[in-house]
Amino acid sequence: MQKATNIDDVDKTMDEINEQTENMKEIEEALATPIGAAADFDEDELEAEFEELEGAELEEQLLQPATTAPAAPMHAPPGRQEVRLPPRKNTAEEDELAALQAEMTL
Amino acid sequence: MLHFKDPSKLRTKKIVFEAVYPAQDSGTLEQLKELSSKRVNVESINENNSITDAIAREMSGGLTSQCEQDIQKLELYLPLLENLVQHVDLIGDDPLVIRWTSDLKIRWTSVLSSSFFFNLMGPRFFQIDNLRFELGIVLFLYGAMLREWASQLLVTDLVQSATLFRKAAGVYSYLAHEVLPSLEGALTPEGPPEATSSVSSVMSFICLAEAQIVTIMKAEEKRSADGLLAKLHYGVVQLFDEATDFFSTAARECKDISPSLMDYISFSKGVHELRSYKYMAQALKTDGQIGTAIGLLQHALNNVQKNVGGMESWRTVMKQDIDTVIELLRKYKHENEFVWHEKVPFDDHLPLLQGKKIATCIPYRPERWERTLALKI
Repeated sequence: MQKATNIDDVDKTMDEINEQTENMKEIEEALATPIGAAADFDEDELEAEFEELEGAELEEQLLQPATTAPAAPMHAPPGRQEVRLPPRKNTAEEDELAALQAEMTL
Repeated sequence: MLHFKDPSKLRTKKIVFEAVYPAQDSGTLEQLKELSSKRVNVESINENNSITDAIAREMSGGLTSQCEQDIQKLELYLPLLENLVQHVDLIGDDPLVIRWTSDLKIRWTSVLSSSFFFNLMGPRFFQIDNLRFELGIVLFLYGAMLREWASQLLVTDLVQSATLFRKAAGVYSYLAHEVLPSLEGALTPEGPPEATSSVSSVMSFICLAEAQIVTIMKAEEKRSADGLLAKLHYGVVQLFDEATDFFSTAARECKDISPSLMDYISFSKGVHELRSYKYMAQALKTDGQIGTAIGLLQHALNNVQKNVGGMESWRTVMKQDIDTVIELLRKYKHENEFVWHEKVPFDDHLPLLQGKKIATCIPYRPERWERTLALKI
């Protein structure tokens, strides 16, 4: 009699577990389904568009005019970093210096 | 700009050329008398004399500044002296000529030796029996007077001031390379520092640094960019560094060289290095690097030299610059604490100061009064 009760309990428990497992699967499927605007997009199309954008950005970078790298300082001790102003400011600085030299007849 | 006026205070004793060099003809006698006459005017420089301002102005053809009048006296004497030196050089090996030159008793004070400050009996005169000593010291005085006049023009004409400093640099460079090397054999370590090439080189670089300082004054007037001002100030430091190198040589050659010249160089270097750091920090802050700016200002204050010598006016200027940097640092730290929260780099990650040296000498081209001198040998 005790054996029959245990087997019934086990069967009942197994049924309950199976039912819960089915429910979990349904929930997962529901969460994975795109909703709203995302439901209208095709993933392959999106990926293709992203690759196109990446390529365009790279092309733009390659076509920018080259800038002159600042000259390295002399006698810099090891570990000291050289912080420099952007190259376009050096050009303005050079113009300013030239104007000053002209004014001072240097 | 710090002021160091000592080089212009040289004095001399009377020389009568025609009493020593025997002229072979009346033309030569006239020239020797003209030489002595022009020298009398040079002897009056830095002497207390009774000539009124009005008479001095008339004698100089209308020049109102004492400095300009003294420069004119030197410019009228130098061509005649160069002519004499050239002629004596041709016959200089003759023992008679050597004796005549020593009979001239060429004597000058020294403003760069310690005895200038500590001699209670009055200024000490150095005698060197060589016409190049006379030419050398007169040129040294000429350079010093140009420099003095340049300082006076700071308030009215920065362009003319810078030009005069560059002219003075050219005079000292000529002295160092063309005149004084041939005097080396006649010098002793106890002799006047002004007669050495190394001291003339020191003065040349000092004048170039001062010309660049005047240029910076113009740049600050025009509100030039902080980055440029930082470089120009550090260029001044680099020019004073070159002066320091030659001073080391001079200190080995002259036993009695006064520390005042080196004090001036040290103070000037300190002031302009501090200003370079200040402008560099301002440029970095404008560029959005307030943390690095703070590090730079802290580094500048930690490394500022603690000079104990020098003039009171120099110490005042240095203190004012230190106070300016302290205030700027306080302001940046406050802003960083409340707004930016940027990390302040360690010293070895701070940017190095860069310098631009733009002041150059105006070469001195000596005028020579091309007249034949015939001496009775």
